[in-house]
Amino acid sequence: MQLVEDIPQVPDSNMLGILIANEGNFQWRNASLSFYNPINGSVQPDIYKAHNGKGIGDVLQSICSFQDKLYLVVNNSQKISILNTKTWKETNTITGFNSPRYFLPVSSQKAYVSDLYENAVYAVNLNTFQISNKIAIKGWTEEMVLINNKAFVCGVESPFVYVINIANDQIIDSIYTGYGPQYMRQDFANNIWVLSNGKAPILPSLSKINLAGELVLQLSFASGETPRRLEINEQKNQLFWLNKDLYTMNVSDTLLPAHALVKAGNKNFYTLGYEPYNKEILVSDAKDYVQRSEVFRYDLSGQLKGSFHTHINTGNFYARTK
Amino acid sequence: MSKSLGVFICVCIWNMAAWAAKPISFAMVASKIDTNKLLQIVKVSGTRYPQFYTGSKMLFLDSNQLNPFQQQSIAGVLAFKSPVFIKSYGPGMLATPSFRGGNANHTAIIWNGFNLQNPMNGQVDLNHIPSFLIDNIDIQFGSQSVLFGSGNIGGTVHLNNQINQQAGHHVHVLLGNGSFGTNLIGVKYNYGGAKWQIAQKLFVEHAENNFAFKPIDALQPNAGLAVDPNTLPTQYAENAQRKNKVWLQEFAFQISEKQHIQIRSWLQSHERNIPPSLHSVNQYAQQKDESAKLMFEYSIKQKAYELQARAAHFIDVISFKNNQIKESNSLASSTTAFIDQFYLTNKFQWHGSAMIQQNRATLREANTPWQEDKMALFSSVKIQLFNQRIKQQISIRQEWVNGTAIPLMPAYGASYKLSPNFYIDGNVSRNYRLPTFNDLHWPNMGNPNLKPEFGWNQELSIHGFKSINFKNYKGGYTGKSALISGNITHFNKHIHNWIIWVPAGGNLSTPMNVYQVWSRGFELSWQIRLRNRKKSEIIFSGMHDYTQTTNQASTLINDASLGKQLIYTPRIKHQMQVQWIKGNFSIQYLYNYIGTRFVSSDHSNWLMPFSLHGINLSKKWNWFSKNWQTQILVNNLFNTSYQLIVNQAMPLVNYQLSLNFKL
Repeated sequence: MQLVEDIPQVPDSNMLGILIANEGNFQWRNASLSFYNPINGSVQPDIYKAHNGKGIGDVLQSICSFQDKLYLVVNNSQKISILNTKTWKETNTITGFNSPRYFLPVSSQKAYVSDLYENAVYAVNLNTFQISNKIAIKGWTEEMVLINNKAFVCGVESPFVYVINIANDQIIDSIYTGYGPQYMRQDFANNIWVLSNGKAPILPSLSKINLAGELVLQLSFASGETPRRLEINEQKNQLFWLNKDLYTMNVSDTLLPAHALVKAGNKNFYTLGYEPYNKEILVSDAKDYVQRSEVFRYDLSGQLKGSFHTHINTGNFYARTK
Repeated sequence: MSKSLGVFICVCIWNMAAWAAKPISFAMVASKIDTNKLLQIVKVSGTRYPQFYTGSKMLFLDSNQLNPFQQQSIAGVLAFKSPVFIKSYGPGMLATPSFRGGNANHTAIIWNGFNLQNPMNGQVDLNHIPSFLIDNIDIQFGSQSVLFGSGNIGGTVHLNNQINQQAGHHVHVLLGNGSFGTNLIGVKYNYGGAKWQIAQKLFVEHAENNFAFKPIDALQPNAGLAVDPNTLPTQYAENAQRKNKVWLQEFAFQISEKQHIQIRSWLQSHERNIPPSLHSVNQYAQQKDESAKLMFEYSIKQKAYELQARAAHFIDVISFKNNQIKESNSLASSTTAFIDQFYLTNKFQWHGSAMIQQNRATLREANTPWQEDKMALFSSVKIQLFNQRIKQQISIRQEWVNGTAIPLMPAYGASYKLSPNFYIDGNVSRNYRLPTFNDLHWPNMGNPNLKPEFGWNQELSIHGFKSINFKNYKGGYTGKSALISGNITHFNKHIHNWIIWVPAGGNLSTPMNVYQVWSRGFELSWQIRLRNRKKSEIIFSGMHDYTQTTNQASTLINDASLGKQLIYTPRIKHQMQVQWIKGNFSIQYLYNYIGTRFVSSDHSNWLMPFSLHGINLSKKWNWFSKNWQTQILVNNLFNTSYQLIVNQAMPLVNYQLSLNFKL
C-alpha cells in the first residue's frame, strides 16, 4: 500500500510545458499544480507546494501565464495567486473576489476575471494587484477571449456572449449564441467558437461568431447530450471537445461529427487540453472524484499514446510555450 | 456543594432570563404526584418486531446509560456509547452514522417502528435529535432489510419512547449550560391513569457555538509541513449559532383490556448557521430544518394473537442559503401504513406484515414533484426448541416499488445457548438499498437508470457472562462480587452496485453503480463490574472494532481504489470507559480512539488517528423531598486538535453542566 506520494522534484527555470490545475475537492484545500514535461514525459505532481511550503488552496480553477508571471485562479479560496515563473515562488495574491473562474490579460496593465456568483467581471490592476473595477453582467461569467481590444465573455446563465470595450470597461454588445455559453476559443480567422450548455428544452450547441459579432453558424447537439470543454490546436483550425466521448472537427466543417474520435468506454473524461509539442490531446479521467486523476494522451487520429497520473480532479491544462 | 449549586442555579436563571428575550416560549407544567392512588395503569407495548431479531447482535442503551448525555444529541450518545462511527461537520452540524463500513444512507434510524431516513438523500442528521427526548436506544448491527426494507445495510438505530408507566403526574426538568454559549431546557411531563397515559416533552436549546479550535492542516501527507497544534493561535468558530426547538407528545389510551391506541407527534425547528471550513471565506450559510411527524398505532390482543395497525406521516422541510446563492428549499414527505399480525407462544412465533408507503419530494429548482410508491409483504417464523435453548428464525420479504418487484429478501437467524452463561448467535440475510430521490432525479444530475444496491450479510457472535461472589479465607462470602461479560462478533458483507457520484460534465456530477464492496471485521465488547456489597461499584468496559471495507470491483478504468479501504471508514476504533459509583455519586472516564481515515479512494490523502478523553461527574440528592441531580461532562479533556471531515474544525476542551430535578 502506498501511503506517501512521490516527492516533488524541482523544475527547471523557464520551464516550458503543460501546467496542470488539479482542482482537488471542494473545501478540502487539496488543490495542486502539476507540471508535465512533454519532451521527456516526466510529471512533477505539486510544484506549488514544493516551492512555497504550503498548498495552493481550495479548488484551483484555471491557469494563465502572462509576461513573467503565472496567475492561478483559486476558486473557493476567492483569490488569484501570482507566481514568479523563474523561482515558482508566490509573489503576490489578488483577493476580494466572490468565486473567481478565469483570468484574461487585456493589456500590460489590466486583466479581467470572470466569476461564478458575483454578477460581474472584475477588472484587475496588474501593477497594484488590486481589483480596480467591476463590470456588471447578470449571472455566472466564464471563459473569455480577447480580439481587437474587445473582450468576449460567456454569460452562462443567459443566451449571450457579452462584448466589453477594454478601453473603458463598458459592455458594448451582446451576441446571441444559444442558452448557456460556457467555453470559447478563437480560430485562425478570428472567429469565436462557443460551446453552450442549453437548458431544456433548448438544446446545447456549438456556435461560430465572426469578427463583426454575427452568429454565422450554430450546430445543435441532441437532447440529453452534455458537451463541455472546448480546445483548439496550435494552428487554430481544429476543435476538440468532450461529449462523454472525445470529438473533433475542423473549423471549416459545417456539421457536427457523426462519430467520436475516442470512445470514453468506462473512463470518466473530465477535461481536455492540447499539447502542442507532440501534437497530442490530453484528456483527464477524474474516476470517482476522490482519487488521483489519470491523464490519457491521444494523437490526432485518436490513438492512445500513453497516460500519466496527476492529482485529484485534474480540471484544466495550460500549455506554456514561451 | 450548596454554594456551587447556588452558583449553578443563578447561571441557569440568568440564562433563562436571556431566553425570555428570544422568540422561544415554553410552559412549565404544574404537577402533583398522587402517591396514594395505586392505579392499575394502562400498559402499552410498541411493535413486536424485536421478537424477530434472532441472531442479530444488539446493543441496548437504557435511560441510565443515556443519562450522562442528556444535553447532547443522539450523535454524541452514539459516538461515546456505541461502535458506530459518526461523521460530524462540527458541533451541532451535520452528523451521520456509519456502521461496519457502510455510509450514511446505509443506516436506518427507526423511531418507534418508523424509518426517519429522508427520502431525498436517505440520511438522518443525528445532531437534530436531542437524546433527552429518547427513552432508550436499541442498536442493531448488520442488515435487517427483511423487517425494515431499504436503507439498513449497515445497521439500524432504534429510537424508542416509552411512556412512563408510573401512576399519577410526573415532571422532569433539565437545565443545561455549556461551553460556547450553550443553554438549554428540557421538560418532560407524564401522566399515567387507568385509561390514559400522556407524555409531553419540550426541548429548547440555543448555542452561540463559537467554539475554540486550532487551525490545523490535518490532511495528510502534508509534505513535512507538520506543525505542533499548540503553537498555532486559537481561533473561534464564526457563523455557527444554532437554535433547536422540539415538542414531542405521546398519548396512549386503553379502549378495553385487549385494545390500545397510541398517538405520537414530533414537531421540530432546527435553525443553524454553518461555519466556513478551515481557511475558507465565510459565506454566511444558513440552514433551517423543520419537521412534523405524526404516528398512530392500534393494537388488539387475543391470547397469543395480536394485531397492530400503524400509520405515520412525516414532513421535512429544508431551507438553505448563503451569500452566493439564492435560497434553496426542499420538502419531503413520507406516508406509511403497516398491518402487523403476531402469534407469540413460548415455542412458536410468527408474524405476517404488510406495508404501503408513499414518498414525495419537491425541490424548488425542479419542475415536478418526485414520487415513489412502495408496497411490501414480509413474514417471519421463529421456533424455540429445548426450553428455548435453540432458537431459529426464517424470514422473507417481497417489496414492490412503483409496481416493479424487488427481488425476494430472505433471512435466517439462529441462537444457541451453549451453557447457562454462553450463547452463540448468527444470521444470514440478503439486503438492498434503493437509490434516493436525489440519486434518481436531482436536476441535471440524477440518474434514473440506477440499480438498487444488493448484498448479503453474515455474522456470527459468541457472548456470555460470568458472575463471581468472592469468599474470604474462611469460605464465607465477603459481599464483594464481580460480573464479567463479553461479546465477540465476526461479520462479512458484500454489496453490489454500490452507488457513488462521478463527473458528468461541466460542473455536474451524476450517481452511478460503480463499486462492489466487501466489508468484514471483528467486534469485541466487554464489561467487568466489581461490586462491594451495595456500597460501591466500579465498572470497566470497552468496545474494540476492526473493520476492513474494500472496493473489490469497479466499472472505472484503472481504478486505483480497487482493494483499498473506503474513504472515511476507520479500520480501528476503541472505546473504553471506567465508572466508579458510590451511593449517589458517580465518576466516569471515557476514552475514544478513531484510527486512520483515508479521504482519497486511492489512499493518496488521509487523516491521522486521534484519541479523545472525557470525564463525567454526577451527584444525586434529595432536597425538599424531590430528586435532584447535577452532572458535569468535560469533553476533549486534553485539548486534542482533530478533524472528522477534512477542514471541518472540531472543538477543544469543553464542558456541559446540567441540573435535573423530578417532581
